[in-house]
Amino acid sequence: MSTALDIAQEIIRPTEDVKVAIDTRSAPRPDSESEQETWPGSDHEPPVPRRKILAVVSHVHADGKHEHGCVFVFTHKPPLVHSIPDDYLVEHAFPIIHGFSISMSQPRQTTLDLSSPAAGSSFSLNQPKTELTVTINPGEDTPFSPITLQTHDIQGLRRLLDECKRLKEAFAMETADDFDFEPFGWVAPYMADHALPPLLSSIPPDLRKLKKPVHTRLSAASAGMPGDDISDVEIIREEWMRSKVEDELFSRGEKAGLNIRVGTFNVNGKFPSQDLSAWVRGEASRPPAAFIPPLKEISPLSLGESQKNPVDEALATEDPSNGQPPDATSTDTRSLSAVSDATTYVNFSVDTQSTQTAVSDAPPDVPEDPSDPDMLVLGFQELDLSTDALLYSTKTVREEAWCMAVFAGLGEKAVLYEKLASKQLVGMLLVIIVKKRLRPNFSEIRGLAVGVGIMGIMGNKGATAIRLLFTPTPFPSAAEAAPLGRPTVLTFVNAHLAAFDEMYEKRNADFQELSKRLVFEPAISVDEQAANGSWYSPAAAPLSIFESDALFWLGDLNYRLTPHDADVRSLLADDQLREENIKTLRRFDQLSSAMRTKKAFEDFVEQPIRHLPSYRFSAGVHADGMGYDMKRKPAWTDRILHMASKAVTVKQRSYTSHATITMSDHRPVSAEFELEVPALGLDEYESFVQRVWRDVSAIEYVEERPRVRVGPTNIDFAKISYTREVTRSLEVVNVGKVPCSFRFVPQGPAADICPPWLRINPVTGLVLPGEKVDVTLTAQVDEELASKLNLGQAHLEDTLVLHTALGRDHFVAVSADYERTCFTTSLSWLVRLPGPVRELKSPDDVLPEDRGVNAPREIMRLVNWLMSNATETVGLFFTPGDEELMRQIREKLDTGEEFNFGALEKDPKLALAFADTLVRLLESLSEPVIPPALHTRCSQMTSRDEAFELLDDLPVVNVNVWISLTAFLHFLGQQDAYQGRVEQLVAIFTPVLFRDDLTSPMPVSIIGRRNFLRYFIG
Amino acid sequence: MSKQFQFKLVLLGESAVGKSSLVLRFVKDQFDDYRESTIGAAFLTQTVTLEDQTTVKFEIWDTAGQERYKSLAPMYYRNANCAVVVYDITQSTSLEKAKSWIRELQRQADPNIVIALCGNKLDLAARRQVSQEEAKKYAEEEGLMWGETSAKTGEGVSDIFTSIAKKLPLTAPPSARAGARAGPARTGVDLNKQAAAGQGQGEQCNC
Ligand SMILES: Nc1nc2c(ncn2[C@@H]2O[C@H](COP(=O)(O)OP(=O)(O)OP(=O)(O)O)[C@@H](O)[C@H]2O)c(=O)[nH]1
Ligand SMILES: [Mg+2]
Repeated sequence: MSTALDIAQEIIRPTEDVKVAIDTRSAPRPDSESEQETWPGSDHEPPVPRRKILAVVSHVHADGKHEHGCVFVFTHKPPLVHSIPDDYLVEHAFPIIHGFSISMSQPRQTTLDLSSPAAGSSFSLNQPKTELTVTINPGEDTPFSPITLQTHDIQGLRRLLDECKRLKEAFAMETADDFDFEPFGWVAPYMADHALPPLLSSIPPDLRKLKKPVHTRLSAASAGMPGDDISDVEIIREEWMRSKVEDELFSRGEKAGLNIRVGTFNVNGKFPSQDLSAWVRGEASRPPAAFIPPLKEISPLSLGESQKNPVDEALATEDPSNGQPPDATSTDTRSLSAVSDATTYVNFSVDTQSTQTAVSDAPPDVPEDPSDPDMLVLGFQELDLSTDALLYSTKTVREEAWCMAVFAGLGEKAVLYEKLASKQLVGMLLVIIVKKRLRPNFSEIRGLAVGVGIMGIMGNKGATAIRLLFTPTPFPSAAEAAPLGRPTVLTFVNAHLAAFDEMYEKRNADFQELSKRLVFEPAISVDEQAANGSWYSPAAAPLSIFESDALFWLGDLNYRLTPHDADVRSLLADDQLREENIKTLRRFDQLSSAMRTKKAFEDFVEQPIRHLPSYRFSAGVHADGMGYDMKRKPAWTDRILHMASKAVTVKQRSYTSHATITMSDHRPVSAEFELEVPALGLDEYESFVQRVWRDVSAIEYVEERPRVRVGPTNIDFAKISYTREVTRSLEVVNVGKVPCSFRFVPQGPAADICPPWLRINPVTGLVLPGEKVDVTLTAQVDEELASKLNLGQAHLEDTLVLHTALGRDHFVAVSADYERTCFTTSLSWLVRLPGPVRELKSPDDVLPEDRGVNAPREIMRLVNWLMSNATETVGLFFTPGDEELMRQIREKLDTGEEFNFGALEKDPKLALAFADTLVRLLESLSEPVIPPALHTRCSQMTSRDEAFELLDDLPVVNVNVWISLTAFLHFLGQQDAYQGRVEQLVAIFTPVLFRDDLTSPMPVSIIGRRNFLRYFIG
Repeated sequence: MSKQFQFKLVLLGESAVGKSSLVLRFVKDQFDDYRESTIGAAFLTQTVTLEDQTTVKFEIWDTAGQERYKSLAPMYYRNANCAVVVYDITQSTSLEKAKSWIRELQRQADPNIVIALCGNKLDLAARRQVSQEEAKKYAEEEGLMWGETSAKTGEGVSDIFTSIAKKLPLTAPPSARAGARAGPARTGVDLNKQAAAGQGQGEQCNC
């Protein structure tokens, strides 16, 4: 066991000194021994007196002259779940002032209970010992009452009393005028320690907040204007603690996995009539001939009247564990909440019955595969299209039918699963199915529905959501008990947003509205929470869906494609160019554009789509060759996105649609996710957080100013150029006695923290005394910046200002020399270069407009090299080039140096790098080779002659580039290696030479532009 | 009850003239023979009490004198109520530099700013290059306060700050108090109150 001094020193910060610390225990009241403060020992042992540590602590103020003392009593922390060994907190702090007194009383003989495990070494001698009583009187003018303790440590107590005397005498010598600071200000932080540290909350922080850089949340500050240091410290400290927890606890400890299969399906009002196994199990692990219930389309009306339907019977035989009467759900579930603006139509259910059956019916003969999902999250839309559905709930029947079809789709695995929860709002249904054996790992399940449809509230559009906790270490017994493990909060949203191509903005608005209104009401009252006693208890506050560790958003989001209907269809129909064309169309997807412009789904992640659009299919004469409805432009309406904090690792394993399930006008879409969460005990987590907190809890209270050394103070990045990053490291060393939080601030109120060519990481930080933080400075020039720097001065310099909270500003001078590049400029500027771009001293040295060359040398050099060295190489433009080779080629273009690659000359890798460099150079131009104003006309040309005529309207330089490029591509297309690949060349070069306008709601025909290019190279 | 005022003061002047040393002497009554050049800006506070018991609290920004950081100085003298422009009496170039700072302040700082010109390193008077007459004459012409100090011996240091305090408009509390810090906020238990209240009760330790 740690000595009293060890424990006291652990708690007391380095700015103070522990003079003496001794072991004591609370003194029994004279009248009854049993009222002594105790913690229960193990079941049959008598209660153990609580160990208390009495210490004298002194603080010498920053002036080096004044010393003040304080008597502390540390006590063992009340156990949380089980007690954390050696965790103490400050119970009392008595400043040693005029009124203060401490005394020891008449010794008395006493026999101790020696079996006590919590007693210190001084207790454990098996003989009667002298026990002294210590009485501390804080002084009459203090709000504290006297306390009494007992100790055996006579020697220690003597030293302790001597120290008190010395400090009290020192205090008596002072007068208030001696100092202009608060003599006992340093004690306050120890008392503030009782406040719950950040991160000890059962509610995860808002994911949207976590995705924003910390410095954007701090107070406005700049050089000489420190802002609100106190509130900044709080934010920086919380962030620092969070990354400590992530780096030192989450990433090092054990992990638990959770495989989730997410699906979304707009069923268009249909009843299930096909095998769903492809959607719910995946194609790969299809079992042979899974049971398919014999389902027919039944009118909702007839269903409404009959209690029994074939589906129920099918299920009754298929899954004995679920073999309840069809209305079982409504009788055997308890409604946790029914929160909605359209309350009448909402039902939320959690299956409790099957939890019990799970134990008895554990299927012995069905083996689990590692690929079986632990959790199935399925979102349905348009479950019921009848107008009645808006008025009456038709919930049970359709929900039952679809759930049964899902279980049927699971085939022989169905017995492993049970329904955990579901939530419906009119046509939207979200169902969560889990492995029976994992049922105890899920808790605090809550459902929610919000309508944003007709009149902004009706449930024809909107979302339903389910929030739950996943705890890798299961609960001790009843589901109500506080979990032992640290839970992870998972939230799933199934949404159906506004329909029709032109309702793009409405869909974005629906998303924003749902983000605001999808708030789970508390399950328990604040009182109940307080009664729980532990910091961890079910949240008694309304919870946003974003207050999750991981959030999945699925559904029929209804985002469409912007190109012309005919374009979309012919791009999709071309199975030769499927991959290339899907990539092309993805650029014109409204959801991608909403995410890019941050109009909706900001900071969500969606894996790039590789499947065909899931909407809208039709049969017979109404359909095109692909089966898409002629009246609706095909689109990726059905989507699955997610967003997660660093507490969870989310890996997506698949994202696909299922063409075999044809009963609806949509195809179902599924995605598989592998989650990894820390498998931690709550107590382990808490003590880690408390330990981290102890070092930093008092930064804003301490009187000492932080002192850091920052260096080097002059950082030269030397030569920097387009796409090449140069990094330097800056050291922030804490040479003071108190933790120091720092942030970089801009020079002026409206300025940026650093020049555009520099990146600082981290921008904020916290350094403990004696430790250091490395800040990485990265100089980098991206396309946008290069195009500016190319036209400006080459020498760059600036000063960074690092502000330490409650301390000083530090300057770091940074400088670099920009090396100009031919990339990111324009054709008209390139032709005016008197020589290689690197030799340009000043931007004013370019030739007059009428004196330029015919075509940019750089482009001609690339084309000529390819023409003479690469036409035999297979895969030019289709295979990406090697980055290092491309960097060398770029360098030679910029410096005008000869292309001389020696032995590499014959390597196809070099040719591929040349081809890719050409594409990238063209892509980086500030304007495409064909000026945007001509795109529409180009797309309308119907013959080669017309197309050639149109070239007359291009600037001469552009015509020259166009002709030489297309001549080369034409020649390439004639080569054996490119037989049948001309179309692919056309598909690749169209966006390069024309550049897509992604902001246009109605882009110029892609097919038309391809046709134009084909007139030249086909 | 005595009055308390708070003012923002900035120190400007060529590198190595002794700005940081002056502040260290004023605030902590210490001196360092080997001080590192300031690369940044330090913030300190010190209070002076005048004869009529009025107290003036200075929030002092000690700036970097190196030419490299000149462009950042305006960030620190904006909203300043007073400025101490320092030169080294053994370096005549440092007076030229001080003059250029004064011109900049007159042009760009708060028009009501109180400026003191301070000739430091008085202990090195044997190596003097700037005569008292020259500096004094310039100060008078420009309407500045003037004094000579030695951060090393302490001579003249508190005088210059006290004269500034006297010259500041003590009739109304200063309006511009940019750079004011939030003091320790939200203490858990107000222990200071007890400490103060406990004074004067001469009870002895029975130990
Ligand atoms: N003899 C003597 N030396 C002094 C005096 N004041 C400062 N010094 C010395 O002069 C040198 C520069 O002093 P600093 O206070 O660092 O000068 P500074 O104006 O703050 O310089 P920067 O921070 O670079 O702007 C140090 O070596 C000091 O010890 C003084 O009054 N007399
Ligand atoms: Mg200095």
